[in-house]
Parts: sequence; C-alpha cells; structure tokens
Amino acid sequence: MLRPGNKKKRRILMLDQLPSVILARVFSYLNQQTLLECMLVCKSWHKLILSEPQCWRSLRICTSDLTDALVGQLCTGVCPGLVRLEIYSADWPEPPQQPGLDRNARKALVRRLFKSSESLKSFSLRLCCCRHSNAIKTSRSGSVSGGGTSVDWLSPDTILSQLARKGGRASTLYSLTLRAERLTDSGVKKLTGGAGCAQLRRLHLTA
Amino acid sequence: MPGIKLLTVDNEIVEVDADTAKQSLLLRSMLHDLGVTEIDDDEEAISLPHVTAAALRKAMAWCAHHKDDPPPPEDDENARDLQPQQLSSWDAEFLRMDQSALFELIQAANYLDIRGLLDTACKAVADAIRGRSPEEIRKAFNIRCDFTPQEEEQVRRETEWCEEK
Repeated sequence: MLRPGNKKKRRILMLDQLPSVILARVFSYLNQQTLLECMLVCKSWHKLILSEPQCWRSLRICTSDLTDALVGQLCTGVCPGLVRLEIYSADWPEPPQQPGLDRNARKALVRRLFKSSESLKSFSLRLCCCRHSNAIKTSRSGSVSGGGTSVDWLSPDTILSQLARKGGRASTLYSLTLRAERLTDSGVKKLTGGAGCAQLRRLHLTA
Repeated sequence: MPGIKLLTVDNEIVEVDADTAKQSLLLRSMLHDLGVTEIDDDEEAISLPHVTAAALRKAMAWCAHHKDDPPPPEDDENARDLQPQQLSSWDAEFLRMDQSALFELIQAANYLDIRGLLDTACKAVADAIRGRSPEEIRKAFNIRCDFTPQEEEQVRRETEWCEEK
C-alpha cells in the first residue's frame, strides 16, 4: 500500500517519535544514573522509564529511601524486568531518631521489592550496622547482638527458599551475596540441592 | 543469485538478495508464505509500508555483512549480560549517519524484525545518551523540555532514591 505524500520531501525523524517499545529498548542499555538523567529530560520519558520494566536491568537502592508509594511504583514499573537488585543500608537498623518508617515497615518493603523482581540473576542485600552499633545496643538490646552485625530477617534460608519457590528462580541466579554467619545447614542444602543455584558463578560471603 | 523486489514507502522498488533478506524474520515468513524462490520480472514487488528505500538498503548491507553471525539466542533477557557489550568497530562505523537516518533504520529493523540490527542500533543511541546531562540530551536530540521549573524540581526530589550513592 502506498502512502501518498511521503514521496515529496525527506521527513526528519526524531528520537521521541520512535515507538515507546523501541525507546524502552534504548533505555535498557543505560545504567541507573543515566536513567535518572533521562527522567529529567521530558514528561514522556519520565513516565516511560517509571512504567516500563523493560527499561531497567539493574537497581541499587538504599533502605532509607524506601517509602510505601515508591515501592508500589517500583514493583509495577521497574522490578519485573530487573536482572540485578541490590539493597543496601549503611546503618541498619536505622537509629531510632531517624525519621520515617520503623524497621518492620522497611522489612516489609524490602520483601515486596524482592518478591516482584521476577527475573533476578543477581541479588544482594547489604545491611551494615557497625557504625551505630553502640547506639543500637543501648536502644534495642533484644534484637541486635554484641557485634552489631546480626540480621534476623531475610536470612539466607529465607532468600533461598523464596527463590526456590518462585518458578525455579534459584536455578537462574548467578551471583549471590550472603552474610556468612547466618548460613545454616538447610540454607546450604537449598544452595546446592535439587532446585539449587546450578548457574551460580559468584557467591560472596560477607562477615 | 536469486533476488526479490521490495516496494518501499517512498515508492521505490529495491531489489535485494533473497538469502540476505531472510535475516529479516518478516521477509523470511513472507517469502515462505508466498513461495518465492527466485526473481521473476512479472512478479509483483512486496510492499513494505514502514520502510524507506535508504533504510532498506542500509539494513540489507548490515545483513550481508553479518550473514555468518550465529543467530541471536531466543531468550533475549537471559542472553544479554548485565554489562552491555561495546559495538564492534565495523558496526560503529556503519552506524555513523545522521540521527534521522539512524532512527529510520531502527524503525526498519523493528518492522522487518532484524533483531541483531535493532539491538545494535539501539545500543548506538544509548551510547549517544550516556554521559550527558538532561539539558545536553535535550539539545542532542532536539527534545523540548515540557517540565515547568517547579515540576522539574519535584521530579528531582521524587527521584532522589535513584541517585547512586
């Protein structure tokens, strides 16, 4: 079928005239910092980047930035496409004087992020509470051990059993960072057993 | 060498090598359905509603150069590594063209379903975006900023979580 009118002059095609599925493909080659710059370019890019999981391969986020609204947005528009998810905190649990959500609320948000990231190949959770260990010890004597490094949630067992449960994601995982002191017999069995991480190329155990 | 005739959106008939054309999954299935094996002067040209002659020639040149490449793996997401690979110097040189021509080529690769070319060309656009500020990106691609200063400030605040720390 010929389209009249296309012959006359060479039309100039612009980047923002490309279909959004192609733009999303272009964005998928960019890292988080560049995606941030792109979100500030114009409204349509901002909307596309936050709603199209194909744009995102990798996400690194700090627990102190997590809010209910943000996690909701990330879970639908970002997480499903993620191949790498890194959640970190420089001082976990955050000191009580920190404004915002309490620890349990943040735990729930981290779980939601993790659960909606369906195609992860690499997951790392780095919670470090050494810097504030003194403050923590006095305020939350029950939950934090002397060294200030114990994390009693999303332990390796939890992570691995969730991976194993969700459509065999464990078998596609190739990089995993775990806190060594939380690794138990059953955790190791999940790593190496039948539905274990057969593709794992990098296991990072932190002290 | 068997050839086929394609009628482009800008009303040109372009004759292309059938084997090369088969790297386009669209043309491959069309040729299969039509049972076209070799050129025939009476044969009607296949009409391509979204492809310009210039983009078609470029796409076929890319296919001819990459004809011996292994086929791209089925599952894109699993095959693509976390670190995108750099373009080969041949591809980088090949894609040195003005923006409009590059976007036309991307549209053609998308419509003709030539995955390798589509990925390569999208990577080239990503390379042109990388390392630029929002203002520089707007300038480079002639995009109008439709944020008011207040809205821009708000987006900045709302996307602080995205900042690499």
